[in-house]
Amino acid sequence: MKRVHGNKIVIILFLTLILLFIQGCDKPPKVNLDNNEVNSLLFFITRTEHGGETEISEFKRFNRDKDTIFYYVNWKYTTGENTNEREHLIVFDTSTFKSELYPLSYLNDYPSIQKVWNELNEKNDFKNFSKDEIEQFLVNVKKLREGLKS
Amino acid sequence: MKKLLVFFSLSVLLFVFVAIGSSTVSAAGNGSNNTIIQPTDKQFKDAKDPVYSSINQTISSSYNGTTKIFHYKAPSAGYFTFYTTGTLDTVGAVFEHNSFLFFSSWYDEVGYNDDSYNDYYTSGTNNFKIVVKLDKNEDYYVCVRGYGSNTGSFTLKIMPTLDKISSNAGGTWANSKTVDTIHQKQYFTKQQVELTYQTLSNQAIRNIIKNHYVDRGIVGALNELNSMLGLTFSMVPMPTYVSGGLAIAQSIFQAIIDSYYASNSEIAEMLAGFEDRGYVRTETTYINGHPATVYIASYGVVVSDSLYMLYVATEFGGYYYPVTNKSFGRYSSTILEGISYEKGSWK
Repeated sequence: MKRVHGNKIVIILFLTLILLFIQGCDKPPKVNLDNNEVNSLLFFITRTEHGGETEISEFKRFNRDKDTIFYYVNWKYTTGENTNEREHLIVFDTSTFKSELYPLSYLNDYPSIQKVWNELNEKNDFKNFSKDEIEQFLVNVKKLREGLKS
Repeated sequence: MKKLLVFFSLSVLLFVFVAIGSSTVSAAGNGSNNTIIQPTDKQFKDAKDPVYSSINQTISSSYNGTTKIFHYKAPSAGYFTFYTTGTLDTVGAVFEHNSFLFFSSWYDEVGYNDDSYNDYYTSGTNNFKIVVKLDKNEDYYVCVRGYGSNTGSFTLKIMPTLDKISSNAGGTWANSKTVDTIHQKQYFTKQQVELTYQTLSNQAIRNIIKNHYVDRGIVGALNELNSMLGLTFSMVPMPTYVSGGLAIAQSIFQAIIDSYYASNSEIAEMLAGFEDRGYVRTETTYINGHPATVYIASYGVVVSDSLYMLYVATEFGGYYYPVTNKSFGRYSSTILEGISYEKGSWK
């Protein structure tokens, strides 16, 4: 009788281990919380790097809705001919992780973006990232780039 | 005695050169009596003037039973295409004039054709088309006759062969096979071809477009490209024409701006189809197992855009990164200024 119970315990333990193994396989990979910021900045760096080294002084997140995030970037080239300060919007699609870049000074070329931007500005609800946070994002951008190359 | 022998030998050699080399046609006479082109030395000499030398030359003429000969000097070296348009069934040949020490000259046939070109513009058929590599400022003679006893007018066209163009930055456009069997007649405008090759062959243009993209966005990049190349492409009217038009236009500029995911040949094909604002339909499909949107323009431009997520692990967690696969193609062979222009690749 005891032997039968012992067999059952072994089988249950075995099945439990299999279940744990399957659950382990299904477990989604750990995705960092700054995924959206890093993706949008990776896009920004890629689109601007032909002009030289860049320095970001302000980076703000405006949540438009669950599908779209507007990032405000105040930046400049530190090398090259034109080192004036520039302001851009990165419009980030959270479902596809795709971004598009819009210069704030020519936003009237893009009426639909301008309309949303005006609304967001009126609400004045945004998260301002600190210099340290921006620096960390850029470090992670570098890591992601290295990961993409490998 | 020895001097006399040398003088005699030289005289014999001179005689041989003069006798053999005095204005002979070295390799003429392709085809039957209906198609043979074998001008005499006098006919070539009579055709010496005028000299045509435009990079894109158009000559209107007619055939009344005597082979017409046109003297052409290419302003730059490279492949050139010679062909006629019109309803006259033409046969053509290109001869190169060669000479030796001023007293010996001859004409080498470097190209001959009967029926390679069908003129879809005027419903003409059976025109000749010759593609030949020319040297700069050398003397070439283009001979045109009608097939058999056919007479009538024709237009001779001479133009650089853009299918075989090379880039200073490296690379050559090479023909490949027709994409599929759907038989569509498609036409490139001169602007499209210029835009394509100027963009591909000039890194400076790409950088200017990138700069303007940063300064003014995609509209600014487009405006700058227009002003540089004297074009009139417009981003704004496209959505009013077709729903997929804007997506196609944006694909082109993104391909130029972010050239890491589009090859030169892909950009070339996309630019070639850029002016096409005809009906566009979209289809949702799968490419390599990933959901993709395929835009199909009425003249055969196809843009496939598939997006999937790539997980990239770092030492502190990982990131999802969007991977975009864009591919551009055409349904079938296209027509460049009346010349068959097949899908190719930049190598």
